[in-house]
Amino acid sequence: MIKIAKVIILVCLPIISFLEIVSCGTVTSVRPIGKGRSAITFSSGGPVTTIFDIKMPIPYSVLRYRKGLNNNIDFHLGLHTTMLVLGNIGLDAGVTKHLISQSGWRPALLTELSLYGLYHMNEFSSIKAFPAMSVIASYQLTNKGHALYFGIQGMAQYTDPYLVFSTLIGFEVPLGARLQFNLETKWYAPNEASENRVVDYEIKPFDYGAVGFVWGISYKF
Amino acid sequence: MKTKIILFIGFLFALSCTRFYSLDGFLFEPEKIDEYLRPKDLKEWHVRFIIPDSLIEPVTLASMGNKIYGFFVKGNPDSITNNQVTILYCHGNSENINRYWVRVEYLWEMGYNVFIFDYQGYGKSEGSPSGEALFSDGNEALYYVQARIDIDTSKIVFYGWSLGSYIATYLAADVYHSAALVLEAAPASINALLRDSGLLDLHGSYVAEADFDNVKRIANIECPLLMMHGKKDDFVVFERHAPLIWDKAVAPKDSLWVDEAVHDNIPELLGNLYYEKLITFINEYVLD
Repeated sequence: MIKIAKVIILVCLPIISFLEIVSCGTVTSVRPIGKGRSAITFSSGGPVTTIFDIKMPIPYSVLRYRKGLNNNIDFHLGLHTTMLVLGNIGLDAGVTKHLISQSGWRPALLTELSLYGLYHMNEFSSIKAFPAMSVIASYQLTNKGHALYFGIQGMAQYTDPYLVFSTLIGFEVPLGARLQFNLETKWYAPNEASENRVVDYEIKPFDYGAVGFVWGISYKF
Repeated sequence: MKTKIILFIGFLFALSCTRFYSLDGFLFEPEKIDEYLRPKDLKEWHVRFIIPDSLIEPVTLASMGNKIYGFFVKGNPDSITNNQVTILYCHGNSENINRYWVRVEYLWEMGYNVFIFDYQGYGKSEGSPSGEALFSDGNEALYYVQARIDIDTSKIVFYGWSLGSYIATYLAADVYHSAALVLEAAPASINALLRDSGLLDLHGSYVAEADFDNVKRIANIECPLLMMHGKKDDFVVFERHAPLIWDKAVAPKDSLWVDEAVHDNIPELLGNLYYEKLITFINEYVLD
């Protein structure tokens, strides 16, 4: 049964991956990288909307550095490159903790705690900080490290809506010993009505939230 | 390691001091044209051609080195009282003066003088739109109106529709204490537009240069305010914008919340009620 599921997923993976590459996408940490190891990830994506008459995910990109503090905990520091282009400093920092290992149909579980900070040049009143938390379940599908994962991410703020969350499903594909590729589909704010928003999101299931895609490529060392 | 971290932080600050790109362009939808007020271009906007040509005066001004175009329309001579009032009309973000000429007709019918102008990049106006350009254009329009010898400068009313509300509010708060301010379908700020689209409480300056913030400025306005907003506005949604401005505005202030109106049909939907509301407000606060 498990074997059949693995085959189905592995066959579907390239097709879905292709679709996501074409339409653009976004990524998260799935498993700890191990004590003393480091990784750099570049990811980009967001909800799908029309930009210059082209339907595409908002190209919000982040360059993230990860360091394995031990075999269960990683530290990360992210530089939000899109914000940099817009003349802002956008950073995030936090830890990822492995909670449960995969066993049979029970997925591996991890949680990530981060603090996002944004600042616009020479304008201290523009400083904003958002704590965030995510819980990700994952299945390693092959010994090489192909993985399927899904989870929920939440970001808190001091105004209504106090919690903005998204759900996600993604694939992790190893590309050799050091490189890895991730693709995610996210449903942003599935609890918020998406009618009459200033930005017209293209994929709004049941008129709630917005669906988007994110891709990421990591180099481990 | 410490040196590397300091260098990295320094590098970030250096990079962030330059904005390589902004999203201001998404705020504006100008349409360039060769000629204004051609009947064939105005038909789609239900213009009635009720203003005699002799009362329409084409105007060109210079703003940031660019030529901008406008029209001064002398008030209906039959309305001796109301034509003491001059409305400086700041139009919305789309197209050009042609799109808003029907609004000029409404105000002219009420008897008021009207000055309407195209922002840089709109209609025949040179240049391209930006926050700075629009504020400069507003300033030049105001100087022009103030310089006319045939109007009463104590009875100038700023009227801003949608995007134009940013200019009208800026003029009233930062430049000149007008006799009154009228805002129709006004967005609260770029912050509010960002939160509207992304839910997060982000700062407007993260994405745009334009200092468009009606909430910030409305508290500094000393003249009477009339706010109009459609409760079915699907672009500048009433609940997410109007209360933010209204709550910060100081008295005297008056409102017209229209249950069935959307972003651009308050006058058409209300008909005579729109006329009555505006005339009553101006009579009370400007002409009294």
